[in-house]
Amino acid sequence: MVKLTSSDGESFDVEKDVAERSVLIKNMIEDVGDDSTEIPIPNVTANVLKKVLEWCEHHKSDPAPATEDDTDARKKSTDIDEWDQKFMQVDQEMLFEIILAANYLDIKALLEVGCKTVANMIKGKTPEEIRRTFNIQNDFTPEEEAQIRRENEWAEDR
Amino acid sequence: MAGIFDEFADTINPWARSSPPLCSAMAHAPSSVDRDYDDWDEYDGSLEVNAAEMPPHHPVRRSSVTTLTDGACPTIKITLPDQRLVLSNEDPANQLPAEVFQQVLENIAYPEILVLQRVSRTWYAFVNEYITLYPALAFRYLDFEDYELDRVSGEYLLSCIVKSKGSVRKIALPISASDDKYSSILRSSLIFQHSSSELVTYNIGAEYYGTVATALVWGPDPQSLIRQAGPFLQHLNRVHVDDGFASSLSDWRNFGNDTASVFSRLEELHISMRTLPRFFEFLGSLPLRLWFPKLDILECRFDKYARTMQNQQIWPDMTSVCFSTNFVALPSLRVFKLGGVPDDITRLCPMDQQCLDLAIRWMPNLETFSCRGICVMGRGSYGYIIRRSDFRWNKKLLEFDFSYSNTTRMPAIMSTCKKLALRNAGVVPRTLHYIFGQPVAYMADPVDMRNSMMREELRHIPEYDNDGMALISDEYGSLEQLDLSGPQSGLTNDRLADTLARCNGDKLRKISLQGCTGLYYDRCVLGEVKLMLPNLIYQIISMLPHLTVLKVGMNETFSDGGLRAIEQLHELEYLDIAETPISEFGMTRFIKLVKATNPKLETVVLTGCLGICEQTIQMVMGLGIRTAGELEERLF
Repeated sequence: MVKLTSSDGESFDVEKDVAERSVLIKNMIEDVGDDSTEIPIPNVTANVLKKVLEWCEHHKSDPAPATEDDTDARKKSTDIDEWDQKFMQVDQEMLFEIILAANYLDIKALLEVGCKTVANMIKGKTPEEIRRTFNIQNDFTPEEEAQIRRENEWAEDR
Repeated sequence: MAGIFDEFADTINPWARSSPPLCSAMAHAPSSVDRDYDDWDEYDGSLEVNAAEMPPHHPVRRSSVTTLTDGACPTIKITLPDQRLVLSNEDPANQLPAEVFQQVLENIAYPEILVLQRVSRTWYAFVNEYITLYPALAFRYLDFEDYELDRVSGEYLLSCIVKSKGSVRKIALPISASDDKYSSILRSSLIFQHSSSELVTYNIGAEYYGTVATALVWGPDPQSLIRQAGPFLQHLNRVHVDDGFASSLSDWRNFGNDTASVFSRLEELHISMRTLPRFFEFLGSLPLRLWFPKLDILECRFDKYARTMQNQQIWPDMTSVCFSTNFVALPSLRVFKLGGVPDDITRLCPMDQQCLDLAIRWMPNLETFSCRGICVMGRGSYGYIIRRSDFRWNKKLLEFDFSYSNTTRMPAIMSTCKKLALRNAGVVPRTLHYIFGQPVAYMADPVDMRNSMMREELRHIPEYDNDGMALISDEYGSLEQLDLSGPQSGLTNDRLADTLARCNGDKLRKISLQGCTGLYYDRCVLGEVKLMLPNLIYQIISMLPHLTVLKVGMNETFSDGGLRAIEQLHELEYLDIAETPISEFGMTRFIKLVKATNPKLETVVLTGCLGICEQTIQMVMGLGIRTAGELEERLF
């Protein structure tokens, strides 16, 4: 068992192999060499950490994270497996928090799932719809907008 | 050519001269067609030069701006976002670090990514940087499927490919604009030019007219060009061929001796059933194993174009396939899939049994066999022959799928098979005798396979018990998954017991009996009069105590008694009792005990159970059990 402490002081007891889905934690454990110490996770809050650990728990039996040269074989398909899809049904702020945490903790697979989820939110939408989805302000001047529209006119209305 | 259009362009289109400089590359592309290329290398080189010089340029609608020159055009420089603006904390471009947002962009195919430029200044800058700095990532997936060919010229596509520096992994071409000659420029040049060793998927669209355009692009001697193309095509290892392939066969025939080298590395071939006869005709008498020595997966399916005006599927004339010596002997084949789920179960695609038997005999490494929506019939000198197809040669067979298909007898399979799917599989009625008596059309007209009168007729045939498919007569000692769903199989209580007795109860964990109208479970609603019949579920449990998946939905006779019996299945994870007359009373009892009796239960499919009220379903969900099932294929 490993004890993780979130930024707001809450601590979680996790099995070692679950925690080691995170490369960061894995390296930390190796550095410390002692399982019983507490590991602080300063950049992640308790509710996010809880969610990330839930994901790690579910995926603990997955094959070991792929090495660098394997990223090429990664499929493009934005299909996400069913459990992960459910898992990612959270509000956007939480979603970004999870992605940031995955990035910080160096959990490749989770980061990838998160990115795919965001990509799916973007896909097949018009710019206006994207703006609405992410609450983005349109800061183009009308002339600029007209120009960009002209540049890739062919790519838009299909 | 360019000059002529220039003159018109001014009058027709005000943008012609004042367009962004990015489009300037288009001026070069048409002119390159004008030149005469006798030499492959020269053309190849010139394209690369073009592409290397140019920033990403865009094909323009041909009707409006065909040629563009570097006129003095008032370009507005898109500035970076104003820092004073309030940043939305839901905007991924602000919230995520740059490298993470880039990973998001990697999931979006090429032309679609351009749309993102219009979202905001931040996005514009980001996408632009991404495309210019990481072309190998940005152009990895080129998905033009939904675009009109008019707007995507072959040259443009090629420049994308060249810019990606060999990292293209997938190209999907537009399906529309079939008679546009651009399509052929696009396709032929793609095939011949692309030398990326990374390309794994190549979709050949619905139509393919090659000859004229090949000559146009490649000079007067297509034959020599095609011969040069051979080495490039060797990098392909997976090919999808749609219906339209046939129209280009005359081109492919020109490959001559080099065709073999084109196909020799192929590991996966997906081909439409309708193209298959023509494709074999094209391959000639040389056996398939010489064409495709490394083929691993062969999938012949009904594709989306095989529909007529009444939206009915029409079947290919399989005569040439059936009697072709081609259809045999693929020594390294692992996966062999035929057909698909048909729209109309009474109209199956006919196939000669002898042909199938021959084909599978020389596939010693076959692991997965699937045959769907096909009527496998043996023809004798008179009428049809009742015979079993023999899969016992395929000693490595693990999955056998004969769903929606018909044949005269249950095929013989090695007892090492792990997964058996006979969803709605059935037996052909005798009437086929008459149909087979006719020379060509196997089954041009719909034949109702389920006609009871025909079943009557079949009774007279010895060893033939009304519905042959349900009568599984072999041992299946290592079966792990069994699917006998559908009313067509004619499964009755006795037959099911007989079948399960041939399986190993320790290994068989998943069984599907959806919509087997011949099965009689219990019909015992708690509180009503009980009929004293043996409960089928108890019988199943006595033979298969370790079931994890049980699907008994769509049966009128499964009710509370059966549900009560299910309490004995302590390892159950998935239960399908959709559209069964379970009562409220039976269900509440089940819910009360479920945590103790079926601790592993994750899903109970309750859709269409009219006896149960919404509140009870809510209670089930409250226990952490899902009530909607996984997606099932169409049953009938």
